[in-house]
Amino acid sequence: MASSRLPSTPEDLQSEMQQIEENYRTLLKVTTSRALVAQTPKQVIWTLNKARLYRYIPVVPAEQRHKVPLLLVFALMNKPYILDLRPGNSFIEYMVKQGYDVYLLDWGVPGIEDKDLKFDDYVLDYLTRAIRKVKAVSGSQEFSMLGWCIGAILATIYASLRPDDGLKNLLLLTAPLDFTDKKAGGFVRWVNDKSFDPGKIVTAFGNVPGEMIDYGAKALKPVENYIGSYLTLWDNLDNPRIVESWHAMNTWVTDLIPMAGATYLQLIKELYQENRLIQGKLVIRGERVDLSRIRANLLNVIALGDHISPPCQSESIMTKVSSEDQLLLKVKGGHIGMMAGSGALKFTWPHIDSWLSERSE
Amino acid sequence: MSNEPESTNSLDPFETMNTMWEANLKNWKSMRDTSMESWSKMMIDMVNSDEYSQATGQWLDTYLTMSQPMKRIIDMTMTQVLTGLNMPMRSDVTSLAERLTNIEIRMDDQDAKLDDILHTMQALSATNHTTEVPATTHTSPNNGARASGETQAAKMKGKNTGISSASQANAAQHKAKGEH
Repeated sequence: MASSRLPSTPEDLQSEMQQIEENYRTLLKVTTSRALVAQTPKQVIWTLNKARLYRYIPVVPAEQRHKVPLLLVFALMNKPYILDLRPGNSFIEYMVKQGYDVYLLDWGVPGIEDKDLKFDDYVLDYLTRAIRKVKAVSGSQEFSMLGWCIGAILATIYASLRPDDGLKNLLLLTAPLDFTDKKAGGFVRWVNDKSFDPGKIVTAFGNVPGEMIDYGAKALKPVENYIGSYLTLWDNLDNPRIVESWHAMNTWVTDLIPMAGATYLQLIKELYQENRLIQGKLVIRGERVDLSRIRANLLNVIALGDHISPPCQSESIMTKVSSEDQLLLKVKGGHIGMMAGSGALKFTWPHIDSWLSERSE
Repeated sequence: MSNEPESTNSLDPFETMNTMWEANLKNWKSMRDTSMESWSKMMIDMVNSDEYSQATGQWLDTYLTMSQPMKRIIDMTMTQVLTGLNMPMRSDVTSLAERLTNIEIRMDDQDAKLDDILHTMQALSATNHTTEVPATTHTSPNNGARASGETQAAKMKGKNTGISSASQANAAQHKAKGEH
């Protein structure tokens, strides 16, 4: 923002005018253009339909690298480059520098032809095949998998259905798994209202529009998301570090993608409303998802300020799995800020690295 | 941005104005932040209330109910127009896309099988090499690696076969979906 002092000389006035003009340009640029994101070097190693599997180019010599590769699985309704937002603020860049062989599964943008895709397809057709490729490329029969948000649901289902497939370490971030408390958080309340019919949304749209999902997420904290965020930018227009960070985050937040209709229906009906996953009643292509079959080492990371997946939705899995080595980690921050905010480098990433490095040899 | 007041000269009218301006700005910002905070809390409470859930649900339900007949008319008209123009409809394009995905799945299965064959061949060649040169088996530092490579390949073969057969079942299911 412009100086907080009144201009007392013509030179001051001129400088003040220049500052205002510059701020205006900055404001225009960051609100109307896309920031450079996802810059960590990578290569596509596998594709299926819209899905892409990336391998990040290692920067640590092979002999110093961790032996167990790490596969990142993000949510279905946002772009996964939040994990590689910008240089210096990228979880992927950090993990590559720590010596991990990092892979990222990008689900892509579903088209109308994908409206019938369900969790069944994402887990058993896409994730299973991507894992096969990770194993083939890395040469390792064991692997670690990190799932974030809906990605954590997919990772959990996979870990339960294929416990003998080499999954050594399972990392869940802000995982919405248990919907027992029907008053915990806005989403659970909204979708459990008797007038809310997800089937009608899917019938009307096919895939659930990104704008609708975005509205749902933003409406949970309307003042912060619709006004507070822009005020933060306004107050810090003369701070390039904050402006760059805001620009990158805004690029991600406004990069909306729809969600496959059948998956949405399954998520709302079978998970949010009927709470089948945690009760062991979820059936994926004829196989019951029994969480007690999960034996992989488990790190469950919960954000204390998470308003999208409140901590109570993530905690109870710890008592359901059979993993002998398990840790529940509670960190500062919100659903996204925990991994992509300014404090992530200090409060979240090092904890993940220290837990995983001991289990990746 | 620093809000620290610099050394002030009380005789300078501009300086006095500046001090007042800065103080006002600071007060205004603090007031704004406080009101934003309370406003935010109020809004969060509101969106987390049963009344809001009910109102949103009803609004959405009304919107979807009202828009459906119009959508149906548009869909029907488009179908008639496209059929009349002898052009493919959305359903034709989507079924084509589904078929392409099925082909991709089959190709992925072939890729998995090729990987299996390659690994098996590598393992076999390593075994043959070990059998042909028995003298080196005790001295070669790579012996352990070969043996473990063989085991690994055998394991991989077992795993991949599992995936492949599952994949075939999935491909068949996809095909069935596409045919509908």
